[in-house]
Amino acid sequence: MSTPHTPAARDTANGGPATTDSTADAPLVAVEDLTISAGGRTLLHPTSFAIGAGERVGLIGESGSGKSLTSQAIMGLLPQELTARGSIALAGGSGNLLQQSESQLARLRGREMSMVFQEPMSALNPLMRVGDQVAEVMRIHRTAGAARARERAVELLDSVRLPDPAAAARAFPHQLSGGQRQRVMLAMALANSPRLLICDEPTTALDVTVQAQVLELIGEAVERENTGLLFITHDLAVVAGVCERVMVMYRGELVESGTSEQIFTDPQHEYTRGLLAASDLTATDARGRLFTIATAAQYHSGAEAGSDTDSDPGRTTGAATSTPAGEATRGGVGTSADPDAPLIEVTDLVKTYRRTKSSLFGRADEVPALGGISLSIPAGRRFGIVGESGSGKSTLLKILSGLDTPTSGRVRVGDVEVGSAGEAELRRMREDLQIVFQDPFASLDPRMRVADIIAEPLVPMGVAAGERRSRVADVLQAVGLDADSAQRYPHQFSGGQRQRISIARALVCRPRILVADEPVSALDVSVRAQVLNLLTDLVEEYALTLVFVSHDLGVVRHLCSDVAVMRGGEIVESGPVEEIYTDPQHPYTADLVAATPTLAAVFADAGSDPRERP
Amino acid sequence: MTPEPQHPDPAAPEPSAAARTAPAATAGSAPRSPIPNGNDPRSTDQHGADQHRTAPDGTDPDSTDPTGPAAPARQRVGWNASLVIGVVLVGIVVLMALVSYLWTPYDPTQAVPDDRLQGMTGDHWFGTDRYGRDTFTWIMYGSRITLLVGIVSVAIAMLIGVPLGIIAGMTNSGILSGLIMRGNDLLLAFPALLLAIVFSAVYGPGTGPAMVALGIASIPGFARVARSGTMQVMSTEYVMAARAANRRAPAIAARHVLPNIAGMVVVQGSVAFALAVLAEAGLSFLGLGTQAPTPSWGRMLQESQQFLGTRPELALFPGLFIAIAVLGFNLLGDGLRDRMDPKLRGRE
Repeated sequence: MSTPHTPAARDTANGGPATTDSTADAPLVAVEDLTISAGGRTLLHPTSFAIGAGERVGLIGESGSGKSLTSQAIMGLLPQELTARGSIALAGGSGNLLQQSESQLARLRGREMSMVFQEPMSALNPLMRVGDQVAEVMRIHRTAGAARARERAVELLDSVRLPDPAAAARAFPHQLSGGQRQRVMLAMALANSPRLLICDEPTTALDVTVQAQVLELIGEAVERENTGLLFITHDLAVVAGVCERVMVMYRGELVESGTSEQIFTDPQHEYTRGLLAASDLTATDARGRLFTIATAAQYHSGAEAGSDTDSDPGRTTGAATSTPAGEATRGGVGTSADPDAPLIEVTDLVKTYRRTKSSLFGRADEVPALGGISLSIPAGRRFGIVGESGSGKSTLLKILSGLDTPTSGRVRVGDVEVGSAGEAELRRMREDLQIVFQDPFASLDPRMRVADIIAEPLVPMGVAAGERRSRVADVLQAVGLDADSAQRYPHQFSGGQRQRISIARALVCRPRILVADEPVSALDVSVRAQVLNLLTDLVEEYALTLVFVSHDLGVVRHLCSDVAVMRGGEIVESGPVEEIYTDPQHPYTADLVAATPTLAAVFADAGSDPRERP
Repeated sequence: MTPEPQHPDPAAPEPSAAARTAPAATAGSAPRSPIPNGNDPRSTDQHGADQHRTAPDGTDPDSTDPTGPAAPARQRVGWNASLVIGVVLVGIVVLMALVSYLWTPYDPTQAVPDDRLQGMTGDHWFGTDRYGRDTFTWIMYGSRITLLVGIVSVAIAMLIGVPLGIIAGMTNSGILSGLIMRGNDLLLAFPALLLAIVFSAVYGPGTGPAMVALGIASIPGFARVARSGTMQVMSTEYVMAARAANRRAPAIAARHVLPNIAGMVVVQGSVAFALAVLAEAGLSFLGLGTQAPTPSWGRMLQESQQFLGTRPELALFPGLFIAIAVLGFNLLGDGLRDRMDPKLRGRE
């Protein structure tokens, strides 16, 4: 079945001369004075930009900066309570998209322009086979008949490099991994060869190695079809690798736009400079702290130093590195506290989860989470554990903190054997070991005042109410929050402030060990730098032994002295962090290092830029 | 009964808060002072980017200005139509019951043979029954019994059902949880009216046995709601944090689980209340509930049967008020649920 809808435009989209003609005339998408407001509040101030055919444009900004609203406005997917003014014109289309009816927009969506969302988990229909979902996009727009659509779905799945595309087409979304689902989303978005592809944080939920593959796929697909790309992300390094032009959004305003090189080497706006400084985990100021928006003035662009990154891994010249500074303090504490025996010792730790039986007669599945892990962490060290999702790092943390029991093996924290310890011993151990959780929105009880949240660990220790109040006030000050924060509720704080509260709760009973489970992965770049600096400060002030779990090698490299790399429930490699980073022995570690996007790497690589491949 | 299911007003923190904590901060001389030196960049950072996050869609809970009164504005959002109508209808019933203690147009027990079976008149707004007793007075007195039965039976169900549900939810997949929930299923299989009839057969008909029977019959609903809510709360990171902070199970149940499931329980309470009102009317109609001299809407319906042809008002008004009470509590429950469920709230 051929399409009744502008067949001429479609046919020339892939072919040479016609396309160049249309780009010469008008940009693919022209956004003019787009303003979005909710009630009386303006969420997006008048914004104008254009995207040409085949152009790759990045849109960066923090959560709440208005970048997602912009993309939703283009797709006509704004929530109803928001009003948009201005104009959005699609080349060859009929006027302002903002004034078109839902049915007119529906004809464009998925055909002329399509979108890849952040969460591949929730963007696919769980009850439909993925092949049918890809085919549906073509059937809705009548670009292919039922049989042809099914065939083409398999081809598309093949083109996004799903192994065994025919089998994948028959699979349900839950049978695929996160990266595979995002490939399916991409196949759906590309099914009708749209002229504009909008990607809203498409790789944020993915592991770094998978992220690298998906980014490469997006780049190739856009290149092949000469599709315009609007790529939304908060990750500067990702944008630098994918896009040729970058727009920076801040508090509902487009503060800067230019080519990638311009933005990343010579940022004009103060906020862009701050963002660049804060996202560079290899640059530190004189105190060995990361740059924040506030201290960005001293920062020298990482891209300038890009050329010598390989020879001098990590630290920007002239800045005292955090490692030696930390080393000095740590050395003192380590020897005075416990000279020989490591503070935490894990030997042959095995954890197997038993899935609940799926049928009455079936055997319960056993899922190995940890397969014989051994590690030892001396007192005063900052120990990083790196691994992708499913590597068992969170399970290890839970067992370390006595929240879960090992299947076999020994875990010793201080002088407590966690596996065999009685409740009283475990309680004593937990007073020494506190946790900072990943999600600052989920880890604070929404119905408790901050003072009660922070004081909670003190209650079982029998600390009197007055003493509790003074310790809460102390620790609030230590994490940089106002004293009157104590009487407020968690929803009144931003993500970074909540994570400070979470850290305050962990430190209020003065533990010797602080365990942090991805404490910055839910935070914006600029806030991330602040929280990491805070952790660095507090680890020194409180003489803590830090166990820091993360999927982000860059963060671990900055913060930790030692690192263990986990994969599939095993430790594949461990040692001093710089050694692992610069000279990885295990191929997986090497992959992980290579896949982590960094600005410096992008610009050092500029000669062999994947974007310039034919 | 149950804590008010909304955020306490954060705009009005105790004024003494700052005064109380500030001296403590300076006086509490910790052995290792965690107080950083004066020109620490952290304090400025915090007022920098941390607070710059603006709500992307206007309803983001991550509202940024901790000093501003943003929260109370959000709380006012929830006044939907169900809630307003529910509150008004329930208010009518409650008001009548309260006023009946101070004033009624007539004495409910006084028979006035001359005024028998009157229609709606200026003297008797809702008419009179076969003994000449004022129907409006009886409706007012009847609302007392209605509310009493509702309150007592819901209280019984809540006090037994919620703890059972929390225990089942916290010992999820354990033997205890299995026992509780299977017992719950057994009880659920018993219709409330059947249980009430059994009770009145054993203990004799009356308001007391009816209330207890209705209360017992509503336990399963509360236990289920409490259990599912508890399981949700138990899987959150803040409970994990509480466990890591050495809180024992009873403390976690009281400090974390109960406040966070209170909203769901209140909604269930409102619905159970409506059912109890209806069941009490039914039982009294059958002669198994409230007994003779005490005015009750169900019994008024029953007594009006023989005069349906001549004086339909006698059945109309008790029926109307039963409907008002049931509808009111149901709408109240619906409205509260919509208001408290953020997922539903977004759709309005």
